[in-house]
Amino acid sequence: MLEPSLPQLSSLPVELIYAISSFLPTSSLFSLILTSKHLHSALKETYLRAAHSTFTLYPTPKCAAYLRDQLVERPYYVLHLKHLKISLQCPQFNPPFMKWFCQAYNQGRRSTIPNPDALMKSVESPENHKAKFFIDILENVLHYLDGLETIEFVHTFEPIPWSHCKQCNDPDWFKIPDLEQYRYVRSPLQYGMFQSDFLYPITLRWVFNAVFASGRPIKHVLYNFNNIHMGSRHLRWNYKGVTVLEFPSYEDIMTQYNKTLKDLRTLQLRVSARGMDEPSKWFEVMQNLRELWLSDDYGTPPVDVLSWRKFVVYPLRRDAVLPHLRKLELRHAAIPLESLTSFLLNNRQVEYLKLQENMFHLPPMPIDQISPDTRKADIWIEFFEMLFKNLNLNYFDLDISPGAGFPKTPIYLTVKGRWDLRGEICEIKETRTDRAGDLMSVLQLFEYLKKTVY
Amino acid sequence: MSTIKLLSSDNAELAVDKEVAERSILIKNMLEDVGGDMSDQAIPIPNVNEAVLRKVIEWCEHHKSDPPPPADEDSDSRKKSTDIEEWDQKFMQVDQEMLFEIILAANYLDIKPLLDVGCKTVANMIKGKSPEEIRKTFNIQNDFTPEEEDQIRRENEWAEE
Repeated sequence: MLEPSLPQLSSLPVELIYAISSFLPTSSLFSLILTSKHLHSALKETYLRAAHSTFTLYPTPKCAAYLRDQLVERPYYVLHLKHLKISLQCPQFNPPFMKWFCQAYNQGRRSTIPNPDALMKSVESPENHKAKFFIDILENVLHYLDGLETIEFVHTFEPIPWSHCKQCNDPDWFKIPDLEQYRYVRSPLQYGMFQSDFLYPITLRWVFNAVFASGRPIKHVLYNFNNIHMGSRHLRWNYKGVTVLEFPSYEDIMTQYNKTLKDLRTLQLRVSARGMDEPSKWFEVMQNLRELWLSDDYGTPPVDVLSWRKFVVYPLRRDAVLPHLRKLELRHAAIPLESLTSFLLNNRQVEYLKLQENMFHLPPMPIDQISPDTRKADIWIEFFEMLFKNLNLNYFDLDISPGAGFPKTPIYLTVKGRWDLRGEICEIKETRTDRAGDLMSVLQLFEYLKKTVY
Repeated sequence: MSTIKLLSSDNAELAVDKEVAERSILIKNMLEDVGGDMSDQAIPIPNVNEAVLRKVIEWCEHHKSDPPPPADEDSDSRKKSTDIEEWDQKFMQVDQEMLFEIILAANYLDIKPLLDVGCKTVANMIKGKSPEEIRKTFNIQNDFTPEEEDQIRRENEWAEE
């Protein structure tokens, strides 16, 4: 037992209890306020702010309506909701699944689900109908959320709770607990459900439609795919990007883009370039963007050569000027190196540059005496020289994959620190692992690149 | 490299490199106020005893070359990481009394990175524990009646993580 006079958690000054609580997730904060009256009194407001700072919204009209109701019942949400997480999965009770499930249930239980037609009806809702309701309600909700800063798209493959899916007028004699006990409902992935039944990539478009329609300014758009298998082929988003086509005129679109995106600081999106007609106008209004993470779809190899206007991954244009951009990360994209060079020269503030798993398209080789491999090495060295001369990078990460003879093996290059100093040490690896690679100066890197040719 | 002296609350005089001592914003400001010359006079640190001051100096010496902590323009307290460097983890393997003394000293001396390490250490001791487990870990007296505790739980059962 500690002596009463010795410092203890509960006797710390309130500002230090706050400081500790700032490192706690909301659930632990709740446990902490339940430990004693003193801690409850010190941290109750902090907890309420934290508990109301995030809401996970499933892409169903019912869940959007639930959030709308919560704003009325719990004014704290209006005051403190900063982070809206939007789940990208669709209800597990969708029509194809329910058809299959009714059969499986009947066979497994040797009994029938009462009134399966009504059950089917409750999940059968035309896409357009659902989209309109969802977008309308979300737009309405966004009008009230003055403190909202972040929209994060999340995908955990966890089924959406039934309570967020069923409609208000659904009869309650479906024995929902029975359904939810059923292993295919409880752990659909484990028991072989089709992943495509859980994916709802059109959700992004719905959300952006609502955001633009509401004119709600957003600071961060995040895309959290931590739990996704990178090879999944079900994550394509081949719709018209996130442009909004429903507005009556170009001016209206630009007005809404401007309202919403003018102060955007962070943009992380996985987008697809295929099937796009026009580059987005987004980047004409994102003048305060600090961090940009774009990734092309992982479902297919990034082989499409994009026109110069489209540049890397839709909707980033090579001629876009983002004067405050500090951090740029591009993954799995088809990148014409000349376009990337133009973009970086237009945005000379970039300090952090990460280029991984990309397919680089080099400029056409002149027909001369120099071997194409030597020419390719020279082009990369010219690119590095351009970075040295024009940018003040403190982190640079690049994969160069073998292609048509150069390099012979993949090159994984990481430079940390003042890389404009050519003596700065960089790390070269031939595999992207945690194991340390070869250390060399940037000048030695040039020699290394040349050597890989021969 | 110039050396200064610090005087602990229990009157122990500790010599320390000026650069190391200046990890403390309090000491740095004091030195600036007197023109940087405190070579013949010990700076009193009345809120910190010798044992704790030695620990704080040990931390400052290890971290003397660290860059200043970045200004966090978009601070969101709920997104703070609780990752702690390996050396700092070992440094913080002390009894609870010393842990809280270090936190109090870091706060008093205005050493934000050390304060963060201390707070993260405590936060990691709280994370994932039930209220009862937290009480046991930190020797907290439960002064709620079961009814009061139940009411708080009911009031917040809507909350999601």
